[in-house]
Amino acid sequence: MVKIVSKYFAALVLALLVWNFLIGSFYMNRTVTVKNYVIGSSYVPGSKTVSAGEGFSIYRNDEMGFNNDSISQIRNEKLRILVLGDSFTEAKQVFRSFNFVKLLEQKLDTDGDRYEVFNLGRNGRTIPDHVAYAEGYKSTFSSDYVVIQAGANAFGEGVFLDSGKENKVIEEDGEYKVVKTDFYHDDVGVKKWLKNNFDIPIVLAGLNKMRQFSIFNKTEDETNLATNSSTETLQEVKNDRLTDFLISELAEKYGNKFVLLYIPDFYSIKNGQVIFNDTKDINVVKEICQKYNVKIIDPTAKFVRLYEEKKKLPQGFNNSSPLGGHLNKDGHKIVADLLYDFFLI
Amino acid sequence: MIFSSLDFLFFIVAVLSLLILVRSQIIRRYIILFSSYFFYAYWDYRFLALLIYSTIFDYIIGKNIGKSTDDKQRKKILFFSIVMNLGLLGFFKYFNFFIASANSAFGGLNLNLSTLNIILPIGISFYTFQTMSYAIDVYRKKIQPADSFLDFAVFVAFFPQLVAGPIVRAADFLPQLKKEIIIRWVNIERGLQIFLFGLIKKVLIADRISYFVDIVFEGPGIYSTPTVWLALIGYSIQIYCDFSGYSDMAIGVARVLGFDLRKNFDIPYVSKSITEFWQRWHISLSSWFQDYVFTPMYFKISNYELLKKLNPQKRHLFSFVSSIMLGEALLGLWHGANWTFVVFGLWHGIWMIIYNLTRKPWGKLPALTRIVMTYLIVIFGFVFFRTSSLTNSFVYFNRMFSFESGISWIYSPMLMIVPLIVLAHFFAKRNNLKDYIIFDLSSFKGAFVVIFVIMSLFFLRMSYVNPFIYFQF
Repeated sequence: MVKIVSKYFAALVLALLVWNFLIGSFYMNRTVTVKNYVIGSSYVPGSKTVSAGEGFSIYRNDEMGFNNDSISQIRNEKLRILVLGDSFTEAKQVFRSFNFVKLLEQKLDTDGDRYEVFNLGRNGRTIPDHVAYAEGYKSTFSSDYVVIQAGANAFGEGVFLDSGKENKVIEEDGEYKVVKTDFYHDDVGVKKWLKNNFDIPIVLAGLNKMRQFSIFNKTEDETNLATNSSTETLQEVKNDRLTDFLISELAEKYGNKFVLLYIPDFYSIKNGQVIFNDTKDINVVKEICQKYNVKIIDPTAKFVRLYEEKKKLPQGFNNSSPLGGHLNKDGHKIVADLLYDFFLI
Repeated sequence: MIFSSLDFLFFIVAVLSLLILVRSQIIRRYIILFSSYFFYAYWDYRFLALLIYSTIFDYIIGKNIGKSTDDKQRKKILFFSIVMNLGLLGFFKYFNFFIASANSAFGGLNLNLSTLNIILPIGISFYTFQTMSYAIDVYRKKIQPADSFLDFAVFVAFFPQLVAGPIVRAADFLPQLKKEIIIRWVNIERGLQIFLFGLIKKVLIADRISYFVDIVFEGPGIYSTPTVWLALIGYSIQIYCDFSGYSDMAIGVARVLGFDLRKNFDIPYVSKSITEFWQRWHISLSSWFQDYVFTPMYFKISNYELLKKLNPQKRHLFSFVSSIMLGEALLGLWHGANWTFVVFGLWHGIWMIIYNLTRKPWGKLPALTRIVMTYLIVIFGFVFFRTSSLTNSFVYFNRMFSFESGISWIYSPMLMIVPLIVLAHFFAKRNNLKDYIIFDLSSFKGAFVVIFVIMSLFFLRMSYVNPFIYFQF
């Protein structure tokens, strides 16, 4: 009996070691984040990011925990552009050299090493975050220009989203306001302790996988309680008044030194056909930008042409779905080209 | 509860614990019976009564056939049993299909019959076939009527194979119930590994591929030709791993309890002809149709007075063609209430006839050519099987052969899975593997393999989980 128990124990240890190696090398690891009240949370500086669920990439984060080769707070003679955004900008689905931030820097530097473009994209960032951290970005980086990337849900329900978000919009006496959350994080108790003390791939991947079993998920009440958001606000979609407020806040915080890069949902699949969505929502955003003299870049027309000419979509990957998700290499190239054209002018 | 769920894990542990704790053989049979009923009721308690009714009905039928010495009387009782069982199946599974088809065919005559809100009881296609085969075997005097109602009830409701097969014959299972039910380590060792093997096929392969297959089949018109071909190959792997995986899990669970169920799949994609394919694919169903549909139909047709005037060769050909086409249409229809399944069956029927008429030249082709051609015939049949209507089937075929431009999606997991399946098939064929590969769980190697596999299932399991394909039948 003792022999069999020892064999099983040894087998368990070996299996854990093998799986730890495999997960750490090839599987998306759940990188631990670091809180930062000035410029928002980031990953652990120098940590490795592995992404294999959608697209594939492996890279090391920079000295501040973002997706750059290197990053510096100290100014030099180069023109400095900050790119803020969500997971579309963080772009862990593609290797760094293929993301639009890096492509932009390479294109701008063809005439000489005169630019530095920093990627401060972070999964889940929203417009309220960019409003709340505006002073922090200025004081930390003193950039010459800022690109703020917003996704399709940036001006509607996204801003009321729950856990993991660091800032949000609330309505008080009929007026909107950006407020900080309590820096609520997904994990509490044992899970949080394990993540903070055992930055081991197999432990973090295991915690992530537990979510797939419903008995380990938080109840709806627990979610609502933790995020201080009511289900009513979660229903708010495409609110023009809210959009107006957010763009006006960006204009106030960033002045004329920023451009809004808006990546909308430009298509849907209906009855087995690719149908391009109507441009009503995009036009609303453009009108409001015009009202506040905010420059906006909209890649929709180029995305549509990519599909019409080459039957390719700018989002999606071979290991997930080609019909949605994050920007792929084609999408990043289009965005980089548009930003390059913008900065040339 | 599906085999790959936590609920099932708790259930089987509870059943095993009870069987170990209880000493009485009678009570052990009752434990298996009531746990089977619990298992079925967990799916849908409303149809448990139907299962019990079917059990009581065919037990009485078997007794009456066995008691009767008058052949005409026996035949009448058997006929009554078949009518009732097929009536049950026909009503729950095909009523709305027949009504919709009639409305469609006679729409010009303003026929507009109403369909009913009928729910298909899970497993009905399997357990009605099981009880019918019992009645027929008793009539044919292949087996004696079951003397114990408890044993018969366990045979009908045995939970490992209740909802999605394999279809078990009374001749194979009832004798096993005469032996003692004992939970032995050697059975747990073997059964657990067979179960895990099935679980890998379902969770790691079938579910993963289904993500790709479902999206492409939902709208094939926007994809490139290579993509739709890849999705079709993916579907052939998905359905094989899904169904054979389920069968393996059923066989594994049965083994743990000390029962043997026959293998239901035998590396079907190395088949060199369509006839061989059906000897390797869903063996319990194809052999059921062979024994109870094709063969009797062949003899019935060949004994028609009209045909007796023909020469033996023509008589055989006519009987063969008719029985195959009719039988295959019914086999297709067994899978679902849709014309696509009928066409699926007829497709296979046509190729069986062609094969039988061209055996000699076919046999001269290289083995690999025959395997590839058989595989192509099978996957083309799967287009009808997978699509929801004949129109969609033709859209799919059009996309396969039109070479128009479209979104190219080479689903990268397929690049690993396809070679793995091909290698596994050829390895099994080359080594003439007739049984599962079983490790000694008291060894380090065996312990490592099982633990590693369980971890694989945990870490590589997709959040996108499909129900078993054959549950819908």
